[in-house]
Amino acid sequence: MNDIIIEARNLCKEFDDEVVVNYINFIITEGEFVTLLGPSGCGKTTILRMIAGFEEPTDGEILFYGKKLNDIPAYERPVNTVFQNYALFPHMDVYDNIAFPLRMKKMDKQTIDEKVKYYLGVVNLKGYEHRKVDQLSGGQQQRVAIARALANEPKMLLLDEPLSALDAKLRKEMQKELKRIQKDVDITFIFVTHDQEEALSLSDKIIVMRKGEIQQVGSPTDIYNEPINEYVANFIGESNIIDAIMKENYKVEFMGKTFDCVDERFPESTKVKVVIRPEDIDLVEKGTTPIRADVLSVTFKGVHYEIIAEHEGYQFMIHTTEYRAVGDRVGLSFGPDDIHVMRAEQRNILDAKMPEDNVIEFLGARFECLQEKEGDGDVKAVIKPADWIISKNTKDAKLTAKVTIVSYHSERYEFLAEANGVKIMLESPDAVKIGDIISLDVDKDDIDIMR
Amino acid sequence: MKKTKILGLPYGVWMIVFIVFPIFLMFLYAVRNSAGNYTIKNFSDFFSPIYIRILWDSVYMAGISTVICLVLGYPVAMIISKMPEKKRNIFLVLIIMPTWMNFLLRTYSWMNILGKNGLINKFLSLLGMAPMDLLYNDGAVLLGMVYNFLPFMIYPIYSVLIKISPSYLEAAKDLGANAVKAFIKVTLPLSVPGIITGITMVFMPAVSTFVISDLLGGGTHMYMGNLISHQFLQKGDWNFGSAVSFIMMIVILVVMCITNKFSKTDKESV
Repeated sequence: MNDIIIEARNLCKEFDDEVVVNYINFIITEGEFVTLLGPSGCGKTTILRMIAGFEEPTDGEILFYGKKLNDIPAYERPVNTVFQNYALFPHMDVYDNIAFPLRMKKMDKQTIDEKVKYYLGVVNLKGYEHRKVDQLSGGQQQRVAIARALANEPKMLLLDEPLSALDAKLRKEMQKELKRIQKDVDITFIFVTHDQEEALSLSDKIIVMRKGEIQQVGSPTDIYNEPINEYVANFIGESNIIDAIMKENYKVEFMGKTFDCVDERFPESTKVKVVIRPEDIDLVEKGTTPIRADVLSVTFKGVHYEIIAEHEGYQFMIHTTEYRAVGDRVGLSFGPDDIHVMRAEQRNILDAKMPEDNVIEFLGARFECLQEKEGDGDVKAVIKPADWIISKNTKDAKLTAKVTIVSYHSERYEFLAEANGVKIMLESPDAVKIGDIISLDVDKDDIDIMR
Repeated sequence: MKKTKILGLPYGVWMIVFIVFPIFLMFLYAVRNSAGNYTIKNFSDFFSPIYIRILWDSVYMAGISTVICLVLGYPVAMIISKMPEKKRNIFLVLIIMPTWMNFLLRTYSWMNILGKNGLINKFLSLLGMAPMDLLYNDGAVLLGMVYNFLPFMIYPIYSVLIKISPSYLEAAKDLGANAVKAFIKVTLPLSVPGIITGITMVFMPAVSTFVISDLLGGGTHMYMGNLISHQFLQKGDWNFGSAVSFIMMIVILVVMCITNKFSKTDKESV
């Protein structure tokens, strides 16, 4: 039943040498309400436009039920778009707008009439057939745009920030409507937004994007409760993020104390970050908890108070219905379920030597770098796992390594490899196996040098 | 309110002195004979076959040249509106630039190109061909009109096309229209206001021109503009000349009303 409707394989889009979508892979199944979520400029709209056929991928492919979509022109694709500014034809009335795709298909008058009436009913606009487009409110225009796109009976509806032009109250109403319409017509919706609340309340699946790359894919609860990194945690709702160390399975240490948690899978003593949502922190009697904090500020937010409280230099944001005055000393408590452990950003810190300007040696190999030699040239090279240039072709390689541990995390492989006796962390979208010999290089821009 | 009225005063005076009063003066000439008595003879004289023929020829020639300008100008406007901004500006200037030169000069230069010893015939004789009569015919007049008035068609259409949001075209394609259908169903109807303006801007000067028909037509055919200038400058019959001018104003007014009707039905939906 739930077949894959869309698959993006190594999808890439560049505009004037600027990479907007950076070799991403994802899968969308039939009947899903999928949201592409991210700030403006993260590439989410570009992905939508590539599916619709308005942009051509620079590289990679989009498969529709396993069939390559790249060379099919927009007007022949079985998908329709609801545009951000609705793009209703101003020289036609509501009826003619909705009838447009049907007339393009050369349907007979009676069928067109039935379908237009039916879809006006779906969007609750019966009786508006002969209104001029500019006589409609924003919400009504929105509904006409949806009806027009649905009238074509697409396999999939693409929505490009359709609610961003509406005021807050109407937006809430249209959110409910969108969800209902999707259930009614029972097709896949791909929804693009920068509004995390919209994404959380509408979606079956959220794809969080940043700078053309996918950060995390998951259900709204997964993404909210188990953000994969600091970026996702910050983007989805408000959160307290604290550096921590994973002592062993189900034990995490931060603020000098060890807490029970529900996370495993992390190697012992890994540096991690914990996320605690403001609404998960309870205010309790001072005597019952080791965490006592001073209230620094209180803001009334309507449904709750937002309290900022400080414990030994750590500031916490707390959402609570209980009032506390500034200066009060309060006890804070959170349970093992409330502590969400995520990976800290990984970096390789390697012993290195600079024999001369713009040259650095580490792991027994020589690399170009962007700094001049200072002092005796003993430095540390800092390289992010994703910045290594990995190749399976080891001929003439300046540095080779043997893969020792591999794990797969949402569309990318993270692995450890041993090069000249040193373990380094690597990351790649391409599959690797334990025991593979790989060649490594790194661009001079990607080497940070510490003394 | 009062302040704006005072500020508007100079314009009011200007309009009375330079527009209303001269028209009134022209009207006075048109309804009197040379002796100064009131008469409608000047108007009734016009409705003889010879003058009606001149009127028809003028409207016909202006109409043909307007259609040619539209057919040539629309694609140009469309191509320019789709260019990247820098290139677009260069092409716009290139199209407008000839109008910076004097109108008479430009028309004279066509005489040098088309004439008996003109550029084209010199080239033909080099090839050993007999010279052709290119000047002093309707074709030359049409060429002159199209050449002179084409920018006035391109510019208004361009300025409407450039304002049509590309998302309308994307929407049309998204909804199953190929490029041709998207043009017919979306771009063309949305550009009607520009077409109307272009038609008005070309038709009005074309129907009343006398320089082009004098120089390039060589007086073989008389048009409304020639008739009027003839009455004023050669015959000195200001009364009949004024009446003909009035009739032509009415013709233009009627044409404008018809085209406005089109743009109005269009405006309602825009």
